[in-house]
Amino acid sequence: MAKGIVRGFEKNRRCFVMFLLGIIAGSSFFLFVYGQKIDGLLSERNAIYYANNQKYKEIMKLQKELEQLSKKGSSAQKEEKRIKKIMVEVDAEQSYITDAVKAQIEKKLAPFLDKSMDWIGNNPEILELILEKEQVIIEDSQKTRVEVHLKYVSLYDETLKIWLKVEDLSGSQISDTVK
Amino acid sequence: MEQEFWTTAVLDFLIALGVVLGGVILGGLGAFITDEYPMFKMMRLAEQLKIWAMVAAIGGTFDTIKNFEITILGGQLNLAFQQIVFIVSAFLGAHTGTVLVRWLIQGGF
Repeated sequence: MAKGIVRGFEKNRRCFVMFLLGIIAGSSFFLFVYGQKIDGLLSERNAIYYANNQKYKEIMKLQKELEQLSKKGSSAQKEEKRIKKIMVEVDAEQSYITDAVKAQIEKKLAPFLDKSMDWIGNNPEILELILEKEQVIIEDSQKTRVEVHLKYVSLYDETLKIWLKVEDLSGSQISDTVK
Repeated sequence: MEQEFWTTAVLDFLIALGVVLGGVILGGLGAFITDEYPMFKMMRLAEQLKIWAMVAAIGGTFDTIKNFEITILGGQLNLAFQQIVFIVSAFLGAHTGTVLVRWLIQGGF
């Protein structure tokens, strides 16, 4: 078969050369007609490649940044201090009022346990809203009613410490409703 | 003698033109195959091939320079002038090819 091909090739050398010349002529014609378009398309493709590369670099940079930030965030979360203990100091004339108010206020502030110290530190008005002019009824023989005034708040070493002043309302006219 | 002069001049012109045009076209095809800008490559090739087209047309720079020496020293100034005409003819052929390619690509001088 190979011999046949070689023989055919030898017989039709001129045809083969014409065929090659035809290919060259045809591709030259193609180049003349579509050359500009090919240049434009190649240029567009390179521009797209470049833009794609830039975007890829941007994505990589953002991913790295995100990784760093998430690392920083998790470590910050770990380090975040939380309230472990609530201490209430009550300034009252009667010691039994002091103990009763202390117990009730500590119970009222129980939801603040295990909350972020930063959160309370940045929003101390929450405590003021809860405690200021809070009326406490002490269940004894006389049913004493007192009003609480917030004096100081301190956040230190996972402890929320509150100083309160108590005003006895038993002698004055007050409503039965408790705030 | 005179006919031979013109024949050579025309031959030099066409050979230089052919070298530029052929080189540029096939170079452009090569650029297309190898994923380069074909028209841009053709333009650059046209400029680069110009000098080599002249050299190819006049049959080698050393022969021509030697002919100059022989003819000038031998007192045959008309032969030296002929050599100059051949060189100019080859230059014109190469330049025509370059200009044609430039027209094709840029649409002007």
